[in-house]
Amino acid sequence: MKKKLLIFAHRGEAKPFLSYFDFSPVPKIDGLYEEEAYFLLITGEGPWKAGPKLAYVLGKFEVSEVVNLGIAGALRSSIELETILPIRNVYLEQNSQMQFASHALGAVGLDLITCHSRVLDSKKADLLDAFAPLVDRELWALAQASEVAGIKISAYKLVSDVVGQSEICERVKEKAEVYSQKLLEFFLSLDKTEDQSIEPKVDIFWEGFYFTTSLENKREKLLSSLSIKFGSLDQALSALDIDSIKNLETLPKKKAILLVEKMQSLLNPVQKELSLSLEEISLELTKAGAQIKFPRDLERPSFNLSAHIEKPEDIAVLVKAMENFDYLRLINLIEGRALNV
Amino acid sequence: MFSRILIERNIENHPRVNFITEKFPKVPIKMIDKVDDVFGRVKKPYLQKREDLQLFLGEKKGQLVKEAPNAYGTKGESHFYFIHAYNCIYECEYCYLQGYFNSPDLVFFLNHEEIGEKIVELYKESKEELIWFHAGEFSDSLAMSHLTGELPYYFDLFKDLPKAKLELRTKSVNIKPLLELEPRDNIVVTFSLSPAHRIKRTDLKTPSLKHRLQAIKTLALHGYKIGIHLDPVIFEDDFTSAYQSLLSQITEVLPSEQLDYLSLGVVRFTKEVYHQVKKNYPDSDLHASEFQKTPEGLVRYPKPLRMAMLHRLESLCIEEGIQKEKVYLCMED
Repeated sequence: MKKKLLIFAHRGEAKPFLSYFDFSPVPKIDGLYEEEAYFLLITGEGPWKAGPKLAYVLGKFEVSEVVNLGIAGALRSSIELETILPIRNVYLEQNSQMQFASHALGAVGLDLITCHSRVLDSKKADLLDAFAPLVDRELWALAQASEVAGIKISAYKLVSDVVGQSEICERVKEKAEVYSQKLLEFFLSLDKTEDQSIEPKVDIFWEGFYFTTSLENKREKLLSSLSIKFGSLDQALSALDIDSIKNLETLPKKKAILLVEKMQSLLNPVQKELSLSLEEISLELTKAGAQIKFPRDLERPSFNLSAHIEKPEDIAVLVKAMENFDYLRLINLIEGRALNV
Repeated sequence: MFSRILIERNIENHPRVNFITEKFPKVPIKMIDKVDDVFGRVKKPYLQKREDLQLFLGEKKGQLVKEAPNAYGTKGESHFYFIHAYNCIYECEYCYLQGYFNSPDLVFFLNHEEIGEKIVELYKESKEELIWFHAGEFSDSLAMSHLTGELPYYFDLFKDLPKAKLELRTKSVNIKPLLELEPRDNIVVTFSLSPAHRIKRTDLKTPSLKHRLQAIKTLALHGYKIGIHLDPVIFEDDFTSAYQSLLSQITEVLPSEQLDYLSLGVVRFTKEVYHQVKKNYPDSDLHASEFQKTPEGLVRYPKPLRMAMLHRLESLCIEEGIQKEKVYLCMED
């Protein structure tokens, strides 16, 4: 079973969690603990420690979601101390330069900058404040590792101090126990109700079809677009009339191909019309054994022609078909004069 | 409206800075060295503008007036655009700005006099009979003009440039600043319009068609030359009847002699912008449109459909009594 991973930089921050839950250490992995519903990881301070350690754990264990809980410094005095805030975006500072890549963690909360070194002076704090109101030392690296692993991450930070206004380390040390207890209480109060909404189960409709992975991907993308086009999944499925294909006397894979083609026609009726017109235009040539390939974007009235010639008569048939090719009709089609919109 | 105003230190006491900040007495202010040091330096989600929009005030550096791409405006004339702002308060689902700056924050550049000098320089160099200058390439020209207050300056500037035309392009109905000014023949206010249901569905947070048409009517009565952009046109089942009705509503409020031109453009994206549209508006009906990816990295309708739409729109315009020479196709050469 996949478990949530609670992640802390310092043991002090994690202490009440270790006591409250029934965590036991995971052998041979320093700082990793496990209990029935959660993993808990203590990474150590700074992005170089936090990122690789999380990446290792995410690669080795079944994690459903990462939750980072910890302390952050405020860059603005307007932020109330000792409040716990969700983090919205996380940015990265390295050698006094902001890095472009960021991670969006949620729609609400405050933004935070992960710094490679502790921010102790107000000049640097002023520069950073142009980008976000909070700083920490790990979150960006945690978000990066989570993104690579394709796992959702959220973060909640207790604001311990205003950078440059106090002896940060002293204050955090003094109040470490209070802060970590607050983090635990906050975590327990988080709405744990999992999203109970059940995705409409449409698998049942595909009985009797055989979708390869590629066809399945196409089917899902098309179904999503058709749901938008028709206003709902139900209406899209109704327009699709799956039974009309399901009841055909043919192989399950062929049925899947026909279904995907039908989805494409429903989604793109004009493109279907265009492709039928092109088939019509090239009918004589295809009958003569030639293969015609039009540019996919139809930006120009051009095409590639290939044919297999075995005997002189083949050439004569092909030449006749080429002479009869209605090039003007192709131009009119490309220039939009043959479509009735 | 703004969560914070960030101001370049060197213009702290600029009268336009005071003019703007006085309107937001409760908004925190932060001084910065340069807009470029902060704006766009980190990637910010586009939709953050809904909850947390910052305003930057600074001076535009570098090329202040740029040559417009081919097929940008009316054919056979010279076109330039100038940049006095970045980003927009509106949220049109197809907007290229969502993939352009990597930040939704607004930037107002306040060195209009320098922009004006460059316009005059280009005007003097030009041998063309008519030279266009377009405002609002990266912003809406009018939506915030009551805050920025630059219109009187440009009206004054173009008074002495008879061979130049200024386009103020908008989706807003913020016309009060214009009504306080004397209309000029070489200043055209252009409105981007779509059928009413399309505006409601796609041009989020913009004024309704009804209100835009009212604004057009008021400006036309006041003596302004009006341009209309039917751009971007989005294809849907009732495309013809929707545009028939729109054109009829336009001609009802806009006398033909007041119409300077009408441009037609079909919706198109770069693949980067389209990716942003998918991310920001996953339920948009744009994703059920008949788009194709082209080898050049564009996402648009196949050419036969684009051309069919444009031909149909052209005939609808003519049926509505709009002179053919006033209609041009945007970005389709």
